Amino acid sequence: MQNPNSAIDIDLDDPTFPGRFDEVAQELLAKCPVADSTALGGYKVISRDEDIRAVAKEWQTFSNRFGYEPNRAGDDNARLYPLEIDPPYQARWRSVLGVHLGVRAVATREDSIRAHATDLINGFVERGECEFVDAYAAHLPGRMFFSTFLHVPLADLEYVQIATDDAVRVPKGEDETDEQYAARRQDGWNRVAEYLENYLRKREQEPPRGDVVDAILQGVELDDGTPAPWKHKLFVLLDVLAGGMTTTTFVLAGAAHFLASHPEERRRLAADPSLVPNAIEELLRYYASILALGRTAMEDTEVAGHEVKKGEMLMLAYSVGCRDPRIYENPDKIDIDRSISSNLAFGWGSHRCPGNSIARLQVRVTIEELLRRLDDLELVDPGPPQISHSTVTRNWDTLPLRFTPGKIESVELSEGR
Amino acid sequence: MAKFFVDEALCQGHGDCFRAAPKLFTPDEDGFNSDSGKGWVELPPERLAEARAAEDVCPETAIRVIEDD
Repeated sequence: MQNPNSAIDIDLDDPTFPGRFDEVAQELLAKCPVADSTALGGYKVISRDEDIRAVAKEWQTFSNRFGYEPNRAGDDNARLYPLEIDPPYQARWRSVLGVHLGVRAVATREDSIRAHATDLINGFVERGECEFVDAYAAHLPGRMFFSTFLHVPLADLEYVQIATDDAVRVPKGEDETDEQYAARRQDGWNRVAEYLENYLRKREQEPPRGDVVDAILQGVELDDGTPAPWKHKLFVLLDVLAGGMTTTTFVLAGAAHFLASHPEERRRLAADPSLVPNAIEELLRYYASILALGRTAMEDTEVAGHEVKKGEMLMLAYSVGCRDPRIYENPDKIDIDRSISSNLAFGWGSHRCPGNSIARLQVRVTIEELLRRLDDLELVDPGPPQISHSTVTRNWDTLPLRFTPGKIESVELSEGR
Repeated sequence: MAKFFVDEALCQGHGDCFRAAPKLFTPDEDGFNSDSGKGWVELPPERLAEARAAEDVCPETAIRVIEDD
């Protein structure tokens, strides 16, 4: 069903897309703001800032109930909540998370995040080089989730974090078939889900600690007034996990790549820390980690003058909207002095990322710690960044960095922090 | 006097307003806008620009600003 106004058949999973991201994004924005894809059974890609915000706000017309990407409608045993539900049920879970992941709650966690950042940098600082994704960016978000927010015992941290990394990130091994790779990732998810379910059961028997786990256990009401079932609680925990891992990894790697490849800007940031918060917004925009997330049209309607049929999936391409020249001058250039009023990188409307404050804090702590500890930071490979895409996320695969070797610093990771 | 209104039914504690209007809005204990549910609140003229910025960035359009004469 080719829209006559759509000239481009976009495939979000096209393996050549990451290497041509700027070019494809600008072409979509200029010529084809509502593009048709024939991939995965067909979907539309919405690219412009204005259109994305409009669709994301209209939850009655564009529902999340049929999944965040194509072909998820059938499976009711492995969902992500509140991503895959609509208001008002969605809003009740969103409020629960907001209390524990919002601006105010997160501000109290900076010491814990910094302790984990210090510990991770200790792992490679003496060597003068590292593969930054594997050594740091893939691990800080997991430590954050499990240790800082869920308070799992430190003794469990490595097990559950490796399982998570298998599930969400670890690239395919050289001698691994597609089937083996898929099985390994599925096994990772199974181990994570099993761990989280057991952890929820265990916490249910313990005195409350007033953390996000207790809030999820307490739960909310379904739209009919009955208590949310147990499996929804697990879906919420899995959503917070899935939403915060590779996404944050991507922007942490992006920040490190930027510092390593822009020595002048690095010196400016080191000399004047007041520039950092604005730089973070620009890095979040430029390295927007959500490629696109889906909504399903509940009726025949239109978006930006393009016909949309009931049942069609619209992929809201946040990462592309973040490069909209209608909003940003020189959108494909990183300008840490640029003023960004509201960052589309976290989505829009009721599904806007509830973890945005945690992501911002992790980026800030990471920039501060890299500036403080890794002198003369540079890229080992000045070639194009090693980025791949899934349907919904942009992933940073490897980032080898070199720097002047530094010293290990003492740090104590406290239990339950 | 200009006024603003933060809709309690819409505010979800996304937190964007605290960044857009740091001198006007603060989070309450639960991270929601502490002015939500207070009805129309008088807005000092020197905070008008911040209030407008917050109105623009709220992903729930929970914030409304009016300037009467």
